[in-house]
Amino acid sequence: MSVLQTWLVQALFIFLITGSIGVLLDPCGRINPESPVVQLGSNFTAVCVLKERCMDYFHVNANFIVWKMGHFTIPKEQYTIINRTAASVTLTDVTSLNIQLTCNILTFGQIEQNVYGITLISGLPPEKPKNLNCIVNEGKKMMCYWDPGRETYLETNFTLKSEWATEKFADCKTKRDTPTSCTVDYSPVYFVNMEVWVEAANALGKVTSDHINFDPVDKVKPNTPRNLSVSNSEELSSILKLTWINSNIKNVIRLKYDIQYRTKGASTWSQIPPEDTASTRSSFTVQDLKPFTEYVFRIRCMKEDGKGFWSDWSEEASGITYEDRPSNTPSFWYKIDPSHSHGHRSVQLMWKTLPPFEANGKILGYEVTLTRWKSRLQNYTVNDTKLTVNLTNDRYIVTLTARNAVGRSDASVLTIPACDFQGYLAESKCYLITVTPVYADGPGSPVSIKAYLKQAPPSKGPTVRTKKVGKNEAVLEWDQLPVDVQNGFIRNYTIFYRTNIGNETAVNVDSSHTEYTLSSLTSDTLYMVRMAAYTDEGGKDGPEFTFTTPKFAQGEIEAIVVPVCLAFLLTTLLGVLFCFNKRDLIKKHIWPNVPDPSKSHIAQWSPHTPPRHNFNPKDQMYSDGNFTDVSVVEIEANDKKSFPEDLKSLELFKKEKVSTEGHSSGIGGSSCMSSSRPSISSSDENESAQNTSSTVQYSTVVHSGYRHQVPSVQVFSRSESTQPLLDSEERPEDLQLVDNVDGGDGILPRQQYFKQNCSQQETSPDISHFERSNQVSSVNEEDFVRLKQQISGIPQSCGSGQMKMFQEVSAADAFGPDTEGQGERFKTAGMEAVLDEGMPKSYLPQTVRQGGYMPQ
Amino acid sequence: MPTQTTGRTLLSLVLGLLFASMAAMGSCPGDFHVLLGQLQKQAHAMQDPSSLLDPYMRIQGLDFPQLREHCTERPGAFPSEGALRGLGRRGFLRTLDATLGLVLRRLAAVQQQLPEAGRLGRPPAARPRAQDLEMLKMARLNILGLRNNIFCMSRLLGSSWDVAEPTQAAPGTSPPPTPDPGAFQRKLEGCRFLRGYHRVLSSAGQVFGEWGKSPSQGHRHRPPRALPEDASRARPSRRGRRLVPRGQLPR
Repeated sequence: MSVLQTWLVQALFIFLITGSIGVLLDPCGRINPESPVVQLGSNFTAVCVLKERCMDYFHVNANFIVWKMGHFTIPKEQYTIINRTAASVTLTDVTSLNIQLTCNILTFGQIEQNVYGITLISGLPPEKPKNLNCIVNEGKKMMCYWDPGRETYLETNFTLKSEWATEKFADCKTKRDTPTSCTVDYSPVYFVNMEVWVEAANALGKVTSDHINFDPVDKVKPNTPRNLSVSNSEELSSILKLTWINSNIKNVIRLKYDIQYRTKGASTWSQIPPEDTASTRSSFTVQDLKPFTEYVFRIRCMKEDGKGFWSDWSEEASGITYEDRPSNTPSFWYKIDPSHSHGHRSVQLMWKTLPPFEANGKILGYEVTLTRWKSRLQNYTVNDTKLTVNLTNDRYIVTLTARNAVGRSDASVLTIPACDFQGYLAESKCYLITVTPVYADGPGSPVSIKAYLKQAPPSKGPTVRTKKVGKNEAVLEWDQLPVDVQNGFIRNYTIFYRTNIGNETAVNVDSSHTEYTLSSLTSDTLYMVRMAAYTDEGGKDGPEFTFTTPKFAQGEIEAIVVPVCLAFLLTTLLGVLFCFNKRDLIKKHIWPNVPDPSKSHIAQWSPHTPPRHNFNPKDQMYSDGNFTDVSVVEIEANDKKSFPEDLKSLELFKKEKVSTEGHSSGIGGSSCMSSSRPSISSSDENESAQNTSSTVQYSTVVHSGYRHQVPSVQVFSRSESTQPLLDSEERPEDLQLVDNVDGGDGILPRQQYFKQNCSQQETSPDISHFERSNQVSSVNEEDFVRLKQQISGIPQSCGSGQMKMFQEVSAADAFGPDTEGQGERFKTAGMEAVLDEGMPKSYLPQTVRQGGYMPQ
Repeated sequence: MPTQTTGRTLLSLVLGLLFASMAAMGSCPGDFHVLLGQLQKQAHAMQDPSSLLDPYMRIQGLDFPQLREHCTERPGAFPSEGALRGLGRRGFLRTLDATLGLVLRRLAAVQQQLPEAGRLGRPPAARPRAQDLEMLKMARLNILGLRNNIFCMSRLLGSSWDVAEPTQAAPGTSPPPTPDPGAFQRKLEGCRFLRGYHRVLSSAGQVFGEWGKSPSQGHRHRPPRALPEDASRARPSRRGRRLVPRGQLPR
């Protein structure tokens, strides 16, 4: 019971105490916000709200509020009275990281009573984490690291997030001491891409880094290759073979290696070329090493494609290359004991040990060979670096080789002169004096110098020659004088050169030169040059040498000739092109056609149209019946008459003929010269021949229509001079035979042959006659009859009456019942005649229908 | 105005779907060959019995030569290589995914039983080694990773994972009901099952290798062919090639 009373008393006491403390601790007001965190440099406003109880008790209101930062009272200007119970304060540009802000009231007018206080924390929001990367240490879990950005002055949490396309992994939260890295708690799965990013958050904000997407196998840092060992090869002293054990990652990825080596004691590493170690391996042979040298190696590896990280360097391993034969000869000298007995002397041979890089191994001994003049050898094998031998006073040759386990060095040779050697020195002879210091441990480096007992002028001068000769300069060269003829030290050379008429010029040249360029020479001039070499005692001239400078410099002629030739060629080419383009005009003015009409006459019809002249496709067209008539007109030139006007008409006719399809111009140009072919020629050369000589005949064969008219008649015209007639003309029976054959074949069913021979020298008694084929139409027959009648009235001499005859024939044919094409052709021909009215009329071979003439 | 609202809604819907699709593919390789290479390497690594079967046998106390001889794949438990080759690409992926899902479930069951096994008062020598348990965890992660890549490849081939497509009806997915033969037989059955799992991954590696040789790398479908189990006998060369792993792991 007493216990219960005691407990109740205690409880009441505690209740009373607690109540009084609560009253005492109850503040008179509050500041809002209570735990503010603001960004550095920003403004902050706090509000203090008084409680009514305190206001009544202390007789105050919001006007009595005083704000303080620590012990510093904030100026009233920063206050704002909100209402009777509340007032605020605004802090501008907060720069302090931690501010104690208190709200106070002035009681009784002057006593400052604290109402409430808060701690204002300021800082910065987190920056976006940068340079996020991850590393997978082989056999360990993945660790990612990043650059957190600026200091925030606030507690900032970094969370590493990672996921697959189908799985999301647990967040990795950084530890307080390592806020810039985080190691995930799951093992990395190779060959599965994952996405990783970092989220940084503090009281002022949250920000996320860029996401990175990678296959963890590309972030692997393999374990270091282990058990690196080095072994040498007895066969090759320049190699060492490295072997090691790869980490287990080689079962997953292919590796490449980085191998470095150095000689023991050296500080810098050499590297094996990366391309030699770019694939998975467990051994490598290093080449080009020095024999019998200790090397230190280390190795590291990484993924073959370079993705990921290098492993750490392995522990260093060293090895020594195998020995090789000594690469150099030992330095070798001798010392003669001056107290020698008669006939013999004691000679001490001594040499230096080879340095390791020349010994290439452990030197097992030295071999010394002594050879007296033409006597047998004496061999000694020595382990020491000196040897004392008793020699005669003769001259000896001593050789020394060093030997190791692999082989011997080359021999070092030394000559021990004979004891009675007298030091006779000749004048003007060059001697090489060598001094070798001999130390206790062997000889030092020798020093040599050339010397003369007494100098003299050279016994021979240098021989100079030209190396290159230009228009105004020449390069001279010479050889150094042989030592035997120098007789002293050559101090300088002097070059003398002159022309035939000029003074001699001298140029001094240093003795070290063997070449000199003479400049300012005159072109196309003969020069004589000689050279002297001088010692301290005088000089000696060499032989004289002559050369001639060229008139032109190299390439100068080409520079002139080539442009001239090109200009000439260009001019010629332009001239030819001009002549070619204007050939008609030139021909007209310079080389007019001047026929000799006096030798022309209307020739005879030639029935001998060889079938082979139907090679023209247009001719083939006539064989199916369209080919109607073939007329041959032979025109003989009359010697007695000259018709210059005819030339123009003839030219016009020729042009028309050329422009008309189906014309067979140019073929059979020599018909008048051959008995087997009819007279069919109108080629230019025939015309030319006619122009140049009156004895050349020309003729024309017209196979097709004129100016697109269907030909019904072919006209063979020939103008000939006094040349003898063709066989066919001389023997008309031959022509008749051919005519009959053609008619029998029916190839030319309506062919007519109009043969007219106006030649005064015609041997045939018939001046003119007609020959008609059997297929001539009745209308044509009438035309021919009328034409025959007209022609029969023509005088023997084909003179001016021919013009009338042409006109009449034209008029008759123009109304002939022929094809439309023929009519058209005649119409065109008539127009030509009108156009040519102003021109002098001439006798021209014309295409006529059914043996008629078309005047032009 | 209503038209504009509807247009905006549609546009936002399309963009949302597009974004969601891209987000789903966020960590998938975008290149067919890269992804195929990853699948091949995964299959190659996971076909190795040391990645799952060996630790399982050690954990289950089956690591004896005589038992190893009996630990052979039960015929019909998994689709044969010929059957896998006969499937179209999507069908193949789906079948492989289903097989892996089955393995995951069996693996989870094994892992659940292991704590019980540890409490059975086994002598320390018979307790599962931590390394083997870790290997089981790693095997599970690897299977999940392979399924992830299968998902990525399926997306890359343009197929929807939800579209129903016939898969090779692996008998293993519905093993014939057999009377509970006891714990030992269950362990042996698990061993045979895992033997088949490794074999399937080997076959899958071969099929992926064929994909790499195929001129068409895009979405190409071969008509599903239900090859008989011994269809692969008709291709001795392929079968022979399967016996020899195509890609040697690096030294």
